[in-house]
Amino acid sequence: MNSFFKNLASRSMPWLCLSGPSSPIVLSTKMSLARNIAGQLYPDKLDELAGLDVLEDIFEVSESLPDYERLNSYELNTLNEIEKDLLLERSHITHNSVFSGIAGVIIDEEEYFSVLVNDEDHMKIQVMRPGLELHKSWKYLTYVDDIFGKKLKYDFSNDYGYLTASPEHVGTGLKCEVLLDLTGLYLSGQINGLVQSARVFGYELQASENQDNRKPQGRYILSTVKTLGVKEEKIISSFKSFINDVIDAETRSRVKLMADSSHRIQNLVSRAYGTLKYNFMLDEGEAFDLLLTLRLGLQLGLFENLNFKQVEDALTCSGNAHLQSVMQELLSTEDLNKTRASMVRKKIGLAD
Amino acid sequence: MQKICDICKKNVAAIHIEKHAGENHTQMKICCQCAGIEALSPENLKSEDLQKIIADLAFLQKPSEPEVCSECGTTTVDFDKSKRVGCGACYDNLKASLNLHLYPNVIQNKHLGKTPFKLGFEPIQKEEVDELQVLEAKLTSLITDEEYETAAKVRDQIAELKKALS
Repeated sequence: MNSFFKNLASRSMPWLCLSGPSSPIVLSTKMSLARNIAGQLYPDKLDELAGLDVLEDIFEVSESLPDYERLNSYELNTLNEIEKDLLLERSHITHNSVFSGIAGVIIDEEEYFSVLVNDEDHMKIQVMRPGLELHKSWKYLTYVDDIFGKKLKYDFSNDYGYLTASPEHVGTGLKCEVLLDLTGLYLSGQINGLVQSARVFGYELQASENQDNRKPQGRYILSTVKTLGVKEEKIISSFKSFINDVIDAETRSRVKLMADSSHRIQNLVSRAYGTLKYNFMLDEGEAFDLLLTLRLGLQLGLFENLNFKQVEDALTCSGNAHLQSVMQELLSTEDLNKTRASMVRKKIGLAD
Repeated sequence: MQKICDICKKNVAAIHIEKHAGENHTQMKICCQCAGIEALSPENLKSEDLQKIIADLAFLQKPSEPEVCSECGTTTVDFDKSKRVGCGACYDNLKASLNLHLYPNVIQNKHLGKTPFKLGFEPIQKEEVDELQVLEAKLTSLITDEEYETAAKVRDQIAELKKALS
């Protein structure tokens, strides 16, 4: 395993675990642009030879990006299972790309920026930031897009804009996504109303899923849907004002919850704390749920001997690939769960 | 109580069809034999079969030839399955079956966002699309078509846009 992956395994995702504007309700911002190269078939239809050509072209152009020396480029089929899992867990690549023979990824040292090559489209340029940073992300994204766009001829039509493999992204190819912690709205039963109103405004709000398809309570992804017939800046500014409304609603519901039924939250948080302290086997999804609940307790000031960083560290280190790469071997599920339990205890200072 | 087929008056009916046309409601119960799928019993009737029967009965089935994209060979059947096109040319070649206007991401069938560069660093001459002009044109045509409900919405959009611009 090379030093980049060792680094990756040894630390938590900076864009998820550091604090940013509007955190901790907005955990992270993710923004991506889908682009295709004119005159080439789309990755679904590409044969291996042409696919690797596209990959090579894109890797070559990436050399003219600023801070090129901080970028790492990999063809996915040259990576081993643990390395691929590691990238998948941190959502730099998708399940689909793992099995494709022609996919590749360009990723910067700090994981704030990546380009996924030959997944659904030829390129998915992605920026990830902690907290709510829509405008800054867009500025960087469009800057990088222009650098690629000057050397590669994008597939573009005057009517439909940037053409993509799925008509769902055609137009700007832009997708904005924020990860939200809406525990307050979730516990007070207001979340379904919010899902509805998001839909009315043309956004999508859904419970985030982790690796084993379990939905951690209170963690939601809000994303934009519209791409054709609207300007990028407009998409971003209206999205931002909607997010601000959501943040207000969540803050209010947390205050109300603490005032009216603090015992409910205390019960939830204390149980999570107890389970984390006294367990010897912990599966991935459960660890995620419990640690998030613990973090909510922290936000509401229910703990004095814990800090956010400890919990966030524990969160990212509890993934299967992380455990395996730290242990340098493939572990059985039982061993994984045992290692995870002790690792999490150690990280949040509960070990004896 | 098991229902008997309305056509042969003999077998147990497996399919129940209701037709609502204005004030008239008609009902029909038929068995698999009469529906033309003799090999199937109600227990192992698949939903695809059912769709076919319903389509046949309602005369909804379109016997049209699938369209093919001349660039990449993607057919409309492929697209229905994967919901993905094979190349950029598909957008023109399979235009009718893509039904872009049905997608929730589509506000209007005209791109308004950024445009790419030509190779050699020359920006493509941008066809200046003024959002306001587009909306005003839309409003006029809607009023001509007497679509007042939609027109009112567009009018509000224009007002909002003007407010944002000023």
